[in-house]
Amino acid sequence: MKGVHLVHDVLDAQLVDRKRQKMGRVDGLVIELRDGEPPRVAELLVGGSVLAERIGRWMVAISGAVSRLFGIEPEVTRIPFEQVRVIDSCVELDIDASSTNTLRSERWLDEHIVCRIPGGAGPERK
Amino acid sequence: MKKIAEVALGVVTGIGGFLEVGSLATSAQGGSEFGFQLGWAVLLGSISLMILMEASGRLAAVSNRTLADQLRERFGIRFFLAPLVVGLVVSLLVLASEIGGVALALQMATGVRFQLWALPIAFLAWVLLWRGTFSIVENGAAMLGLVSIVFAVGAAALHPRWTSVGAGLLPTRPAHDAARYWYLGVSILGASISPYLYMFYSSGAIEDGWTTEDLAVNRITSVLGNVFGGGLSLMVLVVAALVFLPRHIHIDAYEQMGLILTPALGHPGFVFFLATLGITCFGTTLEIALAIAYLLAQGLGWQWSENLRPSQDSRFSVTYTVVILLAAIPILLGVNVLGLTNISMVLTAASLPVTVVPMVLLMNDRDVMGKSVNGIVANVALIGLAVLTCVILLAALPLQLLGGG
Repeated sequence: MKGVHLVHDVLDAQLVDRKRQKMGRVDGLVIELRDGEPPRVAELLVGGSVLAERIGRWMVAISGAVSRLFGIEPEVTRIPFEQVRVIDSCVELDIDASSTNTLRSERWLDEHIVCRIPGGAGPERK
Repeated sequence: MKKIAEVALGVVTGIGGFLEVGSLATSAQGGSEFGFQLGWAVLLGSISLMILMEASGRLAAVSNRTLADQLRERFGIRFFLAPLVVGLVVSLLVLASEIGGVALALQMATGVRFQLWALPIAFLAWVLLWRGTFSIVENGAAMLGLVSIVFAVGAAALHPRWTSVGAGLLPTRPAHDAARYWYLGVSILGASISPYLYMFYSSGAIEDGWTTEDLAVNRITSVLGNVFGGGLSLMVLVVAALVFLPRHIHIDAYEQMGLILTPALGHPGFVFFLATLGITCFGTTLEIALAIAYLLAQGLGWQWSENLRPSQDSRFSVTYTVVILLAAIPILLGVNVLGLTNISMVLTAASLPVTVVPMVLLMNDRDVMGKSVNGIVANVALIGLAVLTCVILLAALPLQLLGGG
């Protein structure tokens, strides 16, 4: 059996959905402790606030201030570990990125800015 | 046949893409103040960039990940914050200098003040990124940048004593102004070895879909491209040494560089200098704006590719849009472009360890590189370079204070 090192291979890895759409990185991991059973990896976390916590208290303060300034609710996307299909150079999930909140800012920028500029949208490749 | 075309294109990129605002300014300053004596800095800079480009291209081709991807994945977010923040800030300063370089070329050509050119240049650069593809940006900039070969023509026309030029390729102590000498040496190194260059190069390897089959092409192009590109940079130093040093002209502003090629080539020399300054700085503007967007997008795992419609990777496209606008502001406000360039080059030199030192680990990690890990020669070169960058980091601030300005 080929082992997986959680920190080496999963934490900070590129997340892609089943169509290989990039949907952020694994910013955090949740390990569930269960009575009488071995602990298991429960969830992957994606979100700036998780990242800020890993960096340090000063970053939490900065990112908190920034989100208050712009009135953004910091959001953490929780992806059940069961959704993971492949772990190699990317972590591939058996979901559609559009069904999660990881592309919220991508979509917002697209709808409010990019699509309104000529040449922004169009056929898939340029 | 396809491989030969790829190598040719890579060499063209090396020649047409090497000169830009930083290498033009620092090589010319070096030549005008110390003759051929700082030639070693140009040589060392080109060899260093050669090592880093070969390594980051190999990393991308083998692992299918860019350098920025690997820095985040292997070293975690706490470490990655350093190359991310340092890379963003330094690249933004260099980007502003490049826009300034284009603006000054236009000012010298038209007489219209350079501040007024900042926004038109930013807009044109943005349109090209918004509508263009990776190969248009990379190859277009490289092809047009071939105009910089005029410096080789200019140097040959001035008949330098080539043995003296060769003697400058070995470092020697200066007879006067030691602090200024080492300061310019570090600036020249910073101008040659920019992190945005090898970050951009490794992203380009992914954009072009490199695999292990491209390793030979990668090796040849990074060597030949930098031999020719570095050679041109040396020619700038040679021309400046022959034109400015005997006349005791110190370069305090780009406008003084305007006549650098005139003694050798007459009025066409002036036109070709402006074309070289304007075109190469504009090409580099495109590359740095992309490099910054690549760094941020890859570090945070966003969708990114210059070959996608902006709508498909809106965070990436909005990033380069904002970045170009931000970088145009100092030029719009009329900062001293040469001063900005000099500070940017020293900061670039000081910023190198945060990417070069982890590269030593990455290039020796079998999990990442498989069979293509560094051999002994590559390791001696890369580790030597990592040590050099740390020395530069320690020396940069004292040299800026003693030898800058």
